[in-house]
Formats: sequence, C-alpha cells, structure tokens
Amino acid sequence: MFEFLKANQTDESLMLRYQQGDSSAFEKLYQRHKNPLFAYLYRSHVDLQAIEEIAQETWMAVIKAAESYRPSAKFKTYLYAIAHRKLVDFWRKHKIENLVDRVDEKGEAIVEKVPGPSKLTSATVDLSMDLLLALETLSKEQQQAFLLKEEGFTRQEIAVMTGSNEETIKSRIRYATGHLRRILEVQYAD
Amino acid sequence: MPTNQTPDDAELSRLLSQAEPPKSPAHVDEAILQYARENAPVTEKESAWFPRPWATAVATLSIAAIAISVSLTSFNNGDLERAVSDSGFVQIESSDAPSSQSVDLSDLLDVVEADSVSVDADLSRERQVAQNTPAITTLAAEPAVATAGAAIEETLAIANTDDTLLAENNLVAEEELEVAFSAAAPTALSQAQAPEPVDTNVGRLENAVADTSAAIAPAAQSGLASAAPQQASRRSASPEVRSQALTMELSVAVVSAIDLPSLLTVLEDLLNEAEAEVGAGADADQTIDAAERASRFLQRFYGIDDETTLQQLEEGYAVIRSNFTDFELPETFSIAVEAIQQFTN
Repeated sequence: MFEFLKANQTDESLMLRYQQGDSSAFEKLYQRHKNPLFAYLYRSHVDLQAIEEIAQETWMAVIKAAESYRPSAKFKTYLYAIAHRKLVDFWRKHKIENLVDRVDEKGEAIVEKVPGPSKLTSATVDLSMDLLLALETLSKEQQQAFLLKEEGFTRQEIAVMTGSNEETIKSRIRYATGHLRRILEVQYAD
Repeated sequence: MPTNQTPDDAELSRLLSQAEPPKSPAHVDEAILQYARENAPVTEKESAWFPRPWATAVATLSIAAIAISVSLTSFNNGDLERAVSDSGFVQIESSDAPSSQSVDLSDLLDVVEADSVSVDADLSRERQVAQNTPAITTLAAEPAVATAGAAIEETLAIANTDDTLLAENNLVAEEELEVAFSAAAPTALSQAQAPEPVDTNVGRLENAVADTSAAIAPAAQSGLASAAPQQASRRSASPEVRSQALTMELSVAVVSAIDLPSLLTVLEDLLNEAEAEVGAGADADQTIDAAERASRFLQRFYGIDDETTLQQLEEGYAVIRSNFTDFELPETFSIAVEAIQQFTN
C-alpha cells in the first residue's frame, strides 16, 4: 500500500518534495520524463549534440527554479514550455530558420542514410523516418505546434507555451498536418 | 493520446510513435542528476532528536495536554467551591470578596472548627444532664431536696466573694438546678437542648424555678408571682445581685414547701426569748392562721432596733438550726425572716 502510494506520487508532489531538499524525488521525476522530453527534442531538431545540450539546459533550468516552483499547472506543461523556449533560443542563436540536415551520433546525415522505398525492410519504419524528415520541412512554429499536440497538450496549453493564441495554434496544426500528409503521399506516389 | 484527431491525424501519430527516438544518454543523465543533488534547495536541517514528521503529532499532543490540564484545574476549583457551599457556608461572591479577591479557606475552616468545638461542648453538657436526670429526679422527689437547695445556697454565698468563681458557680448551679427540677419541669429542660449563652440559660433557669415551684408548692405561688416583676429587673442586674435573688427565691420555695408554721414557731420562740430578756416579750397566738402569724412576727421583728438582740437572735437560731431535725431550716435567721417576708408579700 505504502509502496503503491509512493509509486503513484504526482509530478507536482515530487517537485514539491525536491523543493524541500529531497533529491530522490527529483531523480524519480527525471526518470519519468527524460526519454519523452529527449524524443520531443529529437523530433524538433536534427543535431543530437545540440539536443543533449538543450535537454541539459532544460533540466538545469528546472533545478534552478525549483525553490520558486508553484504547482499552478501540470509539471509536464512546465517542463516542455522550458524545453520549447530553449529550442527557440537555440534556433535564434544559430539563425536556423528551416530545413537542417538531420544527423546521427556520428554526424552523418540521416537523409543520406534513409534508404529508398525499395531498400526498406519495413514499410512502417520507412514512413516513420520519412515523417521525421518531413517535419524538418515545416516552419518551426508549425513543427512545434504539431509536435506539442502529439505530446498530448491541448491547443490552449500549446498557445500558452508558445506565446500564441489558440486560433493560431489551431491553424498551424491544420497546416502542418496537411503538409506532412502531402509530402508522404508524394514520396510514395513516386 | 492526441486529442481532437481526425483519422489522418491518428495515422500521423502512429507513424511518429513508431519512429523510435533515441533515449537520453547516460552521461547526460548523470550530469543532470549530479547537478540536481548539488543544487537541491537548502532546507532547515532536521533536529537530531526531533524528526520533522513528528512535529505535527507532538504539537497536537502538547495542545491537548494543556487543554486537559486547564480543564482539570477548573474542575477541581468547582468541586472545592461546591464542597464549601454544601457545608453550609454562603458562597462569597466576587463583589463581596476581600480586595485581594481570594477567599481564605483556612479562616473558614477555623470558624467551622471553633463552632464545632462549642457545639460539642454544649452537647456534652446536655448529655451529662440527660444522664444525671434519673438520679436527680429521684432526689427531687424526696424531702432531701431541701438539703440540695441549702448546698446550692452555700455555694452561691461563697461565690459572692469572687466574681470569677461566681460566674463558674453560677454555671454549675444553673446546671444542677436544671437537673434537679427537670422532673417537675420537662418543658423547661427541653428548651435548653440548643446551646445558648449563659444569660439566656439564666433566664430559662428562672422560668424553670417558677414552673417547679408551681408544681411542688402551690402555696408559694403567690410569693413567686410577686417576685415576677423583680425578675425583669434582675436580668439587667449584676451576677452577684441576680445570684442573691435566686437564692432567696429558692429559700422561699423550699421553706414554703416544708412547714411554714413550724418555722414561724421557731422564729417566734427565739423572738420571745430575746424580748423576754429585754422585757418586751409577747406570746404567740397559734390559733390564728399562718399569714397573720407571719405578719405579726415581721412586725415584731422589724420593731427591734437593738443590735445585741439581733445578734442574740442569729446565735440562738444557729443553735436551734444545728439541733433541728424535723426539716432543714434556712441557713441564717435573716434568711428565714426574708423567707417569711416573701411569704407575706
């Protein structure tokens, strides 16, 4: 019973415990969110080294702000809002506007590694990788709206996180969805 | 997982989730967790002897303990006040309390103790009286009561020389008289059950004497009745005067109850002897009634102004009294004359 309760502690309560100096609470919180956050960052940007740096900066920002943390919103929304801001800062810093070649751990371009439809062992894997490549063809605003929607956030939450209004987010998501569908259809039509 | 999705959106979500992203690298995890441990918010160190989780419980218990202590204190005070109230004391209101606003219970207890001792002494005295009542009743029924009366007179006469002794003897005499006449005056005795001051008892004793006299000597009623107005004045008189008056009443009652004509005979004989020596004697006419005889005797007696004759009368009376066995004569000739005087009044 006690173990069950401990295992089901909310993100917010863990953050409050860390606020009181309990490092183990933060460790538990980190284990819950480290991979989903890394995946979101990976889908948002192609450079793994940059993603690691952004992930580290995101979590450090959470740690620094722990003392003043107030559970006014979901911790996940709080975490991804910081990550999104770090991404935007990174893009502005490096004057990245649109498509960037996606690279792997060794710095090789993913696009180059992606085999053609004939080389794919699985049609599903091909489509997934194509989707990641297609994401890079979207504007950063459209991409972030789509990716955050895929992370489970509502249009209202995304609007708050990105500093936009809800209608704008709605049109960005609609545009991003249509664009991605069209690219995938064109690729497989070829 | 995504919300508000069309079938096309669902397909895109499925494709995105299947594009398995890389996991957070271990070195990044270590760096972040190390940073988190080093930069954990500083909180107050917990006391070694008092862990924080117990703080709430200890605080609650402390408040409960204080509340219980206050309640018990109030409860005990209430009990004490009720006990004092139940014991008959009027509860002192705050407005009536001393300026210090504290009632000294020890003083109250001292008052109770003093009252208790006084009541105990009175009850003991009353019990003693009650125990002696049967014997005294028997005594009172016999002619020897006169002897007791004389003894009391003697005691009172001695007491007249000393105020302190007088007060004590008065008390003894009152008690003995109450006992002696309790058989004849039970009502008067019953009224003496409650402890009262000596003055009140003296008054009650006088009433008892009056009742007793009425019961045993109807002939003396007229004399006692004439003395009634004097009783009122005696209540305000000194103890010595009151004692003498009481002695006289007793003499009248006793002499009248025994044999007034015989006493008159004795006194007339003495008077005749004395007057014969001075040549002014007169025979007693024993055919007239006792009242007339007494009146004539007193007229003759008050006509004597010779100190030697009076002295001779006292001495002769003393000799006769010592040899007289029919009944107990008054102690002195003067007292006997006073008794006769009371009778004629």
